[in-house]
Amino acid sequence: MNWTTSIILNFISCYILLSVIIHVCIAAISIIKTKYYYNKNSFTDYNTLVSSSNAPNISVITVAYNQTDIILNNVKQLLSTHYNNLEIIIINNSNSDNVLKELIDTYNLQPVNVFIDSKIPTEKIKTIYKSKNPIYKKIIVVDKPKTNKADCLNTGINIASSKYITHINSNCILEQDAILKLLQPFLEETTQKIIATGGIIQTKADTTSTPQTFLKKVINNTLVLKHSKTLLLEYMGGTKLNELLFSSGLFMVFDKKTAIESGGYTSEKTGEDIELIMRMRRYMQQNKTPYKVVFIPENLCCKKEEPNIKNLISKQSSWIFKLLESFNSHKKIFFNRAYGSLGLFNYPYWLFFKFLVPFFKGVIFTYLIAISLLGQVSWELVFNLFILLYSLKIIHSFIAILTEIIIQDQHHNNYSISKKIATAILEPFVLNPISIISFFKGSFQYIKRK
Amino acid sequence: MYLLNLLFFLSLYFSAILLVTMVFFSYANKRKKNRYLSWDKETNHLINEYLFAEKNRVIELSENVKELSKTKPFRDFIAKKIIIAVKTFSGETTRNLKKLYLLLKLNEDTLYNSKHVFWYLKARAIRNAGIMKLDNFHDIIFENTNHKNDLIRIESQIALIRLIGFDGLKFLNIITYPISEWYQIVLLKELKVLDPDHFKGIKFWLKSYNKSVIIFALKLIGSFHLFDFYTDTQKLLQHKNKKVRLQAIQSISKIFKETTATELFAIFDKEPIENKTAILKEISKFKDPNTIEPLLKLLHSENPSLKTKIAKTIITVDKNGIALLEKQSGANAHPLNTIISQLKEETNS
Repeated sequence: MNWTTSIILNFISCYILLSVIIHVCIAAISIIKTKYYYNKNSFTDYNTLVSSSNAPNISVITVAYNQTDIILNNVKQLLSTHYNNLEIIIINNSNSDNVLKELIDTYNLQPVNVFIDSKIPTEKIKTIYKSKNPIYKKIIVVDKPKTNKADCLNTGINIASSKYITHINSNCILEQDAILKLLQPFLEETTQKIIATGGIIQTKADTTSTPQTFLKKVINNTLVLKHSKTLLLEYMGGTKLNELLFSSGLFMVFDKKTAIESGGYTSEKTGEDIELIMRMRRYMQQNKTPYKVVFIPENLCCKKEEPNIKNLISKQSSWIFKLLESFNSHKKIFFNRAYGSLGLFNYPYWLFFKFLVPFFKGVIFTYLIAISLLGQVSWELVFNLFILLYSLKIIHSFIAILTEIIIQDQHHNNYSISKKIATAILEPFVLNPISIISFFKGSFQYIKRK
Repeated sequence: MYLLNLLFFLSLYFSAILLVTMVFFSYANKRKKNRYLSWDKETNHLINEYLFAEKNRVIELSENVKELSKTKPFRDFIAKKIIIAVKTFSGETTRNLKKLYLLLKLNEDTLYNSKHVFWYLKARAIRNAGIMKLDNFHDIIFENTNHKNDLIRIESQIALIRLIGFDGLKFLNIITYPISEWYQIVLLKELKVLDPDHFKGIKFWLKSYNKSVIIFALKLIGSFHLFDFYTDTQKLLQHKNKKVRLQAIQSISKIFKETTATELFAIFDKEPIENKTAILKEISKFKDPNTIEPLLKLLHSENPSLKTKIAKTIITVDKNGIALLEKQSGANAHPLNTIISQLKEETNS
């Protein structure tokens, strides 16, 4: 083994060790915080807020595209939500008039003149509709010429009359207590300003459209496991360290005032929520105001998707694209002392230990195979390194399963435990190649667009 | 290379240990669930017997229950069941359940847990003492009303109210930690179910150095319509903290007098937008025609967003508000013309 190979291998070892230490710390904090959350939650009666006259208002913004049935179901479901102080703002961004027509017919809407104080600049609005029927007074429908999603959401923020805002995709189904759970941290905090709260959007397998093959079942199980890992071993730790920066798949509630002051959603970027949260953080940091982004370790929202490799790659590569946009537009804070922990810890952590992981994996695998083919290192060493990386991944999954059994006090029969263990063993073979391919696909798309 | 080898062996051993632990805990959980299932039937029967027992009837515990009650898991299980039943029912039935609680000596567990180092066990014990109205816990509960752990603190505050009613609010004299908005809502809900009583100490709480105590006292004034505290509330409209002023605005409107609107207009200019909005909301509830003139004056001076709110207040106070707005200078120009046509449509619909 020459000295260059030795240095590179030592560098790889140090990176793995550092990554293990960081992930162990975050997982430990996460487990403690999750346990704390469940204990605390056993004392909470969310109905207190439902029945209180002091309950805050919240505006739910949803953007309607061409799928009429989906948006109608979405509105129906929002109307039946277990919270009264709700305002539902639907921004029609579809090509055809069908969605609008259906909404008008279903909810007895009529055009109204509304004065909008456009604190965030947006494209012009065609018409605003409200219902003649007082039962549907919560609904506001905004018809806009076809524009981007960020512009639609900013229009929603300008129209929203509540102190808190949230944005929900029309294919998401909210849990009954979701809004109450997300509002609670805003009302509970006394020392810091809560700028946003978020809970997980769970992806469920859509079993209705196509038959379930073995591969689909495996993919679905690995996704469920990945979801548990994020929920139990990452996000709660992230909340404690205030490092939830570019978290994916979150259903979030924002403080409207902070969202407006930080400029709202950005039309040039595709990752709406991550971009907004990043800008809000920067704004708070620049103003030296203590703030917090709170994560709720529960599934508050779910959406159905067909679990197949093509869908997964497309979803993950689009996520990589959004992350690249965000990393690039906020590169100023990278190791910038002026942004405190955001610049010195959070941003580098996300860059080196989250975002670039598939890249490092791809490069390390290729490098190891290349040097072993060239005879610079033994096959045994390469094999051991693979086993090490593989067992680290399995350990992470096992800890998540164990946490689920102990903390969530879930009863698992022998079959479900065996299924989870088998999934943990298979997961690296299924998700690793997908994440590496998605990383390079997303990065190429980004470079191409630039 | 040494580091890699070390990590390699460690990870393999650790995976194996985790695997064994998972299987063990899964088995333990399964056993626990089965045990709970068998206890469930037994405890339900016992609780039902006590629930519907006549006043002076003594119900003996079965040998099985006596034997089981020697074990801690069963005691925790039955305590939880009794607490749920007490929360669900009221009156004589709960008194019988209290008898059962004492007969099983669960109060001793409550006492033990109320001094526990684990916060959630301590908080649960305090909550149980409040629900079961265990008077001898008064001192323990009171001393925890200013505990550094927020859950223990709030559970103690609620338990104190459950034990001694409105007098339980005496914790407001001593607390140094803020009461969050959420917990204020919880406390008000607890108080709402009690018969309104005299409020000793409100004057003192309104002068507290703890801002949240002032805000909570103001909420009490508003919620229970305590007209005697009008002057004190009025003074707080000048408080240096904007949140206190906001609550003072909301509370004074619930005990309003003829002069309240004038007092609110007097502070309007220097208030932040949130408080201005609150003032307009409260004024619209008064429906006092005398407020129209000052409102029309404000209409010319404020920003467009506030203009809409002022205009809405005018049409809420006066039926002919739209006509009044149309007579104003600038009624045909933006933004007032849009605001007026929006309000017209809203009124018509």
